[in-house]
Amino acid sequence: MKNRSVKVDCLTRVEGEGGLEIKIKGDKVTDIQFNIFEPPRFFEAFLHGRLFTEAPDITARICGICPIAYQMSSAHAMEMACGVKVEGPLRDLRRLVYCGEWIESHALHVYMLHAPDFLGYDDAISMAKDHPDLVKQGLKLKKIGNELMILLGGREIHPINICVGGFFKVPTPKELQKMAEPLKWALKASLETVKFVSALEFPEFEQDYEFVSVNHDREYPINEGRVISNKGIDIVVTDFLEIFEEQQVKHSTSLHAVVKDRGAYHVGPLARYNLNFDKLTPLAQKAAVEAGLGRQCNNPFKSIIARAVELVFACEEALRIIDNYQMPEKPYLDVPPKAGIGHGATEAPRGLLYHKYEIDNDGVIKAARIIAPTSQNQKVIENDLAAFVPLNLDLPHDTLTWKCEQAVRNYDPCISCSCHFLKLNIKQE
Amino acid sequence: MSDGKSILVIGMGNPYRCDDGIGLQIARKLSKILPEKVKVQTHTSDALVLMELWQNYDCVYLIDAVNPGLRCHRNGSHDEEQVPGRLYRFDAAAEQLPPIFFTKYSTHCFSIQETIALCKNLEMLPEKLIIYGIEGHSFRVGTELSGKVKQAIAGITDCIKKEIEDSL
Repeated sequence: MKNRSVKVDCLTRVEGEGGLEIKIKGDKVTDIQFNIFEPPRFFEAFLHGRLFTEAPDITARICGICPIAYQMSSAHAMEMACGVKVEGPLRDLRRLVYCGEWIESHALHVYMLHAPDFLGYDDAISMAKDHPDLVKQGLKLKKIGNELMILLGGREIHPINICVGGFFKVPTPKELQKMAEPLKWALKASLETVKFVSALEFPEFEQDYEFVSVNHDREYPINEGRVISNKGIDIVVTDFLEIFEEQQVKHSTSLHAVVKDRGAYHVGPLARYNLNFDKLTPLAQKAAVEAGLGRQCNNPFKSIIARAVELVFACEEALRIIDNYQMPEKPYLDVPPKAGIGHGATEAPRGLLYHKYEIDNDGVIKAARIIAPTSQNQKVIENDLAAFVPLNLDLPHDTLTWKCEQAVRNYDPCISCSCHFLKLNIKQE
Repeated sequence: MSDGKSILVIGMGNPYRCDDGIGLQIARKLSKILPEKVKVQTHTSDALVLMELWQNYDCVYLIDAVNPGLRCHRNGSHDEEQVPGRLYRFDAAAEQLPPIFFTKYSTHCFSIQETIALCKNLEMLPEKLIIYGIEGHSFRVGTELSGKVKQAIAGITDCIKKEIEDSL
């Protein structure tokens, strides 16, 4: 009986350091390990003793590509603990800067990290030689997302303008209007992106996922709402840890998150899309339908289409907010500290990001809990591979290795985040 | 290069990582002593943004720190001799940057090498791109340059100034 192994010591075209090891005996997968060997980062520990106002700036350092997500989840959690709710133009500005992050992150992933897989290139650099206009379009989209983050956040990496209660400084309507033309171009480019990815070739592969995302009664989820799934979960964010738990695994410095007594779940664009299609703009819905995505999609390889559809949505949402913006009198609400516990669940580009904090009467952090989307997806990544590999054992080893890496990249994993850091090994036994 | 071509000098680096700030410091010194027609900027972020910065310039000089502990030869081999403050010069149009020369800013970003490779394939390199790499010693958290790297600033600044002025 033939034994094989597929091993990727260091996964490429993902953020952070991770690897993959798969053991095969005959035609059965006997073991799969998505190894995170990025060093543990101990953010939850060193937040202890810091002031609640420092949480957005400290947690933003967890990730260079989704810092807004960390700042928003932490700000919302602290505001909940202190009994303050941010509404009106400040809330809109939060959604707007988050749109900037979705645009730059999704554009980077679709064009530079994932498209090379589908088109048969090792990386975006080699893809650029044959498809220069494609790569230039992706880079320009990313740049527009970054510009929105710079305008509202002060800079695109670890923004400095976000605070508990709002912002340190808010733009004038005139300053925001300068982004209107670039965003209109970005919207057209996003629609072309959906057309481009819809024409890619996708493996026939579907799984019965439990999709989990934030859900809001009026809007496509970005910055707040309940937490729901397609298998019956419908909770307020304060009940998050009643339903979900993290487990330690030997082969990973990152914890695995599961639905208690049930198992793996799937967060990210495909989850958001499946659970909130009715909240997309009509244009985004139309683009999705024309792309062949359907109201429900269980093929993880088509997450690239869901990401492209979310690009369309993010551009439209940004334009809507800019058109309706009225400058608030003050850039932030006062948030006097008080002893309490707060929770925040917002939708990072890669999926639901959960924060929980306990603070004392002086606003000093006594406890912190951060569950990143990539931690939540680790188990489902392994499950995907367990199902995918046996269907493709007839592929040459190098091709199978590449396909497995592509399957991991479906989730656009942010490994640094999941380690508060892919290389694939398939071992034949 | 006395035919009116545009020149840009970019100092790159992270000012909070000790010697990684050397490119920024040299750029600031050059901005005070180079002719006005030479534009000087500093850049502390993703190397991919360089593609935008140098788009309208014919000739670009990029200054950044390079990895310590490795002597990089042009044939790609390296030995273990450390010479903090040593200056390397590369002509991006004519040669490949050694693969271990410049590290990525972070795993989210493109390195200088990747940006140059991408620009070559997109035909977005300036007509002339010269990269100066200064060997660093310490890349720990901090704002102070290490001793030998600091001592090398004056000589490196003069060397780069001379090349730019000779080309005018």
